[in-house]
Amino acid sequence: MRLALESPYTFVWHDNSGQAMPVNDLQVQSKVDSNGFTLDIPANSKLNYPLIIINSAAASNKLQTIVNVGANTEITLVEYMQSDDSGAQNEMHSIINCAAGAKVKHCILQYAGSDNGITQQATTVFKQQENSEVATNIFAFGGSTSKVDLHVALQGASAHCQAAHLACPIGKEKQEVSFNIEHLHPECTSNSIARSVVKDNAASNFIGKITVHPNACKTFADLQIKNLLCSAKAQANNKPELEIYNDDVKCSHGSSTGQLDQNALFYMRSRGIDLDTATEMLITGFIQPVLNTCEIPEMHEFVNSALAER
Amino acid sequence: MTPLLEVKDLVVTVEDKLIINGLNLTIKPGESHAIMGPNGSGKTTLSNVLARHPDYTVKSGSIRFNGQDILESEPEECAQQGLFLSFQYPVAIPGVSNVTFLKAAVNGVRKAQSKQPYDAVEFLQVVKKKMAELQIDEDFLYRSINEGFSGGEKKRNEILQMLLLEPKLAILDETDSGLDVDALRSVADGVNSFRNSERGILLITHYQRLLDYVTPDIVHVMMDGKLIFTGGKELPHQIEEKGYSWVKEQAE
Repeated sequence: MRLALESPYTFVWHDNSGQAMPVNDLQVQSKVDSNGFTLDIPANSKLNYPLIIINSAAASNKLQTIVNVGANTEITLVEYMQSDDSGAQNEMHSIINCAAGAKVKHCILQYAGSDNGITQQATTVFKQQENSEVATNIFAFGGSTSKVDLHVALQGASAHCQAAHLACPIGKEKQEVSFNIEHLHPECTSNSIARSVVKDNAASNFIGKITVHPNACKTFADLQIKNLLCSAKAQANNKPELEIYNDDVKCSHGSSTGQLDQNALFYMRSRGIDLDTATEMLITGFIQPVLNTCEIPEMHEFVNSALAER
Repeated sequence: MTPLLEVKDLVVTVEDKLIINGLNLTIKPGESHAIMGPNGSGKTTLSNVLARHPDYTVKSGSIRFNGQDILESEPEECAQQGLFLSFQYPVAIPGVSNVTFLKAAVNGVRKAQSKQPYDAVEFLQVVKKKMAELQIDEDFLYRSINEGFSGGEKKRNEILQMLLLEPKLAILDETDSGLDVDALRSVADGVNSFRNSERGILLITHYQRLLDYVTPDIVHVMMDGKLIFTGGKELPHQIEEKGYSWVKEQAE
């Protein structure tokens, strides 16, 4: 599926080779080597365009990206993983270093044209210094196996991270997600939210771990995972974990898995809305809290189209 | 004249428990009926069965709406043919705005009746006019369906849906419960504005309160899954005074 976003800062990596023109202007310095990309965005700047990294696999692809975001710099970064050919292996490792006061809006999109043996795997690491802010949205659509590992290290005081994951596995697709959020310094906050709409024989596994280290007083951390099972054979396993080594913190987590609300469906149908439309509306309502956290408007369009296909 | 609703010898079970046991009811165009009865007499089950809730099994008997057998019909088909149920407990649906829901409902019904669906602008004009009549604020449109609504707001929303969908038969299940006097009046005004010589109303309640504002032509008393007594508009006051045991004696 095409991204509705366009940017002069677009980097393409296909089957282990970079086809991107290195960009070097006042705002973005880029290097391309055999492993992937290194992007440097200097301090105190605000990018007018998003950074877009397109990672596509026909057979086998592996990309490593390092993004260094300077102090007090604001960027939007979209990492798009796409595979259409059966059996394709697509792998992406990103490290995003956020200097003090940096603000990063980030999005990972996984999209596969079929579930014919495609594996897509994303590992993303955020290292956040003091007062930095990260808002990351992960949208996973398609692939026989879709893996997402998100690591967030809050390495400076008063850093904030908001992480959201949305997936809609269908057929026999399998979804493996882990969030690992480490509070290492005082007064950091993290809000994590995940929603999976699981259909057919698909499965979703989510491990969410928050660790509050001894030094991290006045931490606020919350993790909420919800799954909607749309068939009798759909599966979802949630494992929220909290490890807390400081007393002066506020941490919460919640996890629930349920089916479509039959009373809500009847209510809508009794108003003349057919079953398919009513189901679609309930699913839209279910994912809304995740979509609302995404501040990149073009992504909403992408997500709605991808969901409509499923 | 074809009755709007014709229920004959209806027997309904829920999880093998007999709830409705040989009920007969006929409502003709222009008529307003009320069904009163103590808690547990089967009133809400009846309203759900009429709106074709999938959890209720009809063991025997028949339900005809506008001359058509609806026992095999889906809830949306009944709604599209002009049957409306105002819920005793309207369901909250987080994340779906009222305006999206109302537009889907109205256009779902219009499409089934071969009418041109409203576009967004037309729909807003129509809905805002009806909302003003019911004294509903505009921000209501952009809130999630019934989420965080007060009892009065939920019931006003039900009446708004009724006025928008323009059904032939409206079943109002305990529409008066949880309403203060002002809300009760505006709901009653909404229902009265809906009445005409072609439409039917079935009010289900266990108090006379709503019936003081919306006067029914015919009042039935339901007990143990059937209508045991039928009277006129004076019956609710007699029940209020003498209780359901008096009705039972009269019936015997």
